[in-house]
Amino acid sequence: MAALVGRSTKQALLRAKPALSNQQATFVTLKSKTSKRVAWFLGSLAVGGGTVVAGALAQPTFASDLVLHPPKFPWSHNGPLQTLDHASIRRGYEVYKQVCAACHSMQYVCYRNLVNVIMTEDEAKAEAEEAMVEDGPNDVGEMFERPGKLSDHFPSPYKNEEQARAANNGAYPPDLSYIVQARHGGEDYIFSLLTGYSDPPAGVKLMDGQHFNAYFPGGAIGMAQALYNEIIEYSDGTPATQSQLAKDVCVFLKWAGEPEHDSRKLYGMRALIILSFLLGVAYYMKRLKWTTVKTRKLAFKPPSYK
Amino acid sequence: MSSLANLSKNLYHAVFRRTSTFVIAVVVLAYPFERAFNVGTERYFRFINKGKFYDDIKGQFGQDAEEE
Repeated sequence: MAALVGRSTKQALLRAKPALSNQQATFVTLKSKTSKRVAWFLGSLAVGGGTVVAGALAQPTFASDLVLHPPKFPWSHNGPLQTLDHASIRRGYEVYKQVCAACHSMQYVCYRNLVNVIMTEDEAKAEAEEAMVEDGPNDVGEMFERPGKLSDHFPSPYKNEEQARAANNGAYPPDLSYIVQARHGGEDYIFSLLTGYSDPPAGVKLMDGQHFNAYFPGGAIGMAQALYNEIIEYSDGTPATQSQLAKDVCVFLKWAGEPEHDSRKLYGMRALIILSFLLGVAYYMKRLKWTTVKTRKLAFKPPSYK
Repeated sequence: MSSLANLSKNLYHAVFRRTSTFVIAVVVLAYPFERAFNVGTERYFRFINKGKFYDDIKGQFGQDAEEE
């Protein structure tokens, strides 16, 4: 079967060359001239570049595009092989628990997720027991409260969205479980937002309960500035400046949204190593199988009429 | 003939020449290769990210120190 396929492809490749009709003994060549290839390359580059420029110029400009984009920060987990800083995740959890959790839920994260990521199993159990969780129904059909277990999710500050809105002037504090994925700019945006509060510039009127933040689309945000220097005390003794608090909570939220972050990068590295080896093998196999085709020469031998 | 060429020749005749021995070699070598590759890559990964893993920060926090 393989021989059949090989023979037919070879014949297809070698067929329909005009050299034979001219009765000249030219060799069949599968390569074009170098200058021709360079011209093709430059030509397609020009066409492709022109298409990109034309496409970019044809885009309309929206007023909603005119927002302040957050700068790119040098996170220690930037880069294809860099893991999250777990000490920072732990400090960020302390910030979340003592500051953010007053208004924001994280209903998709469990206490068991913390085990061997930022704390031991015993510590995580102690953390869970601090929270009272509604469970039930019991034997008489009533709901009851019990201390949390490892399998419980983080408790929410409000029972539902309506209650959250009513308590916060109509603004809904979003769930923070996947907030880094849910916002353009990711952790850069969240860090800028947390540290970007200022007095409103002249001409900007804010309603009651609104605050000015240049990084928030529209500028008027319902959340007041939450992070100040020394607002909490870290258990590892790190000075709790405002930017340190914001950085740690961003790393914590990054982990919450992508708990597979570290192993994903490790497996990515392994996959690239294996696949680049296999690419070499495939290239060798191609060269090997094509040697018979590439080195074959066709010559026209004029018949001798005696 | 150099020893390397000798080795590769012996290897070819002993293993790669027959499909039966070749398949056995693949099956037998898969496990040690997988172990070595996984352990090696993880060790490198932990080396370039030293200090950022949970194992590196165990016991640095107040509660840990009290328990110990």
